[in-house]
Amino acid sequence: MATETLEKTVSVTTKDGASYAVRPATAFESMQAAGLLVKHLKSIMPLVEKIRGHLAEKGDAVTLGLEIMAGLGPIMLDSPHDVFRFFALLSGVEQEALESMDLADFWAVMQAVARTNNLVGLLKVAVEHGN
Amino acid sequence: MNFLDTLEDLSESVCLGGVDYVARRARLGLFFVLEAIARRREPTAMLDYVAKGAGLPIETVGAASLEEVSAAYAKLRILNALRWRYPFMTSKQVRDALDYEGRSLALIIHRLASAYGWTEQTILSLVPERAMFYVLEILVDRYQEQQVAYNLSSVGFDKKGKKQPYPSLGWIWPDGPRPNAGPAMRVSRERAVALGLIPAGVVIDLGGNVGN
Repeated sequence: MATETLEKTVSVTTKDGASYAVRPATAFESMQAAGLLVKHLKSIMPLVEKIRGHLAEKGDAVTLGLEIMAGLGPIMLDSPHDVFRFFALLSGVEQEALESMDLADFWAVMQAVARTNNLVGLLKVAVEHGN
Repeated sequence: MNFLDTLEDLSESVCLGGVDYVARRARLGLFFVLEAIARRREPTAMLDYVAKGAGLPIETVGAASLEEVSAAYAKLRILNALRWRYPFMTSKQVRDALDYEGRSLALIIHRLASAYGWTEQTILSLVPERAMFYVLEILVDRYQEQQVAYNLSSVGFDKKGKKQPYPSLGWIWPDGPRPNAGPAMRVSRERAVALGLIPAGVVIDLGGNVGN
């Protein structure tokens, strides 16, 4: 899978004018985020299978990352707190700030996370340590 | 598996935070620590594994990228994987359990370490011939102890009540192995240990008989 498409920083400006620089998470933050995925591994197994199927055909980390974002819905419904924590870890944006954002701004942060972080790698770590 | 391969000092280069580090293959104590970490079913165990395996502070590993840590983890897992499933690690009977390459050296180290308490490093630094001479003496010594124990024991009598000689060391006879043909050894007069240097003393048996 090609990771060259990942960006070093993506700026997100919310409707209220606040600006955030979303950057790749450190290994420590990534592992904590992967730990959250492990907690909900059962709910996201269909997503894991889907991504596995796409790995050979789509070689782009960002495209797959965005697909992973979209597949995190079950966790969102099940445990929103973990979702906010997940994105706070990966984006570097304060969890409180994420929780108070409107949906469009939050989606922008999610997209920025997909553009800066190797979510396929993160999912792989979660699956390897969750089974 | 070849015992001689284990003498090589294996290492692996890992890149964390853009800096290359060299990790040596884990020694016994660290190997078990790493195995315990690897069994933890949580992603943060990867950070601990890489930190311990590469001998780096956890902060250095945590600050690296996910890709770097994942790659380092994979490399260190391969580097530190046990190369052979040893017969005593399985409940099944293993055919040719002791038929491994380099057993001669393992045996020499084992004999010398057991007899003299020498370290592996000391033994490996010996000139081969000297090591072999020591092993020879250890084997003879052990044989003599067994022979004395046999002679003092109540086993080894035939139907007529005659004590059978203790089986000799096959390799000590000049004309080839002669198993079950005592007395124990044939040593030329020139090389025999001087009589005055042979330990001797009063033998006291528990039955109360005293003799020389």
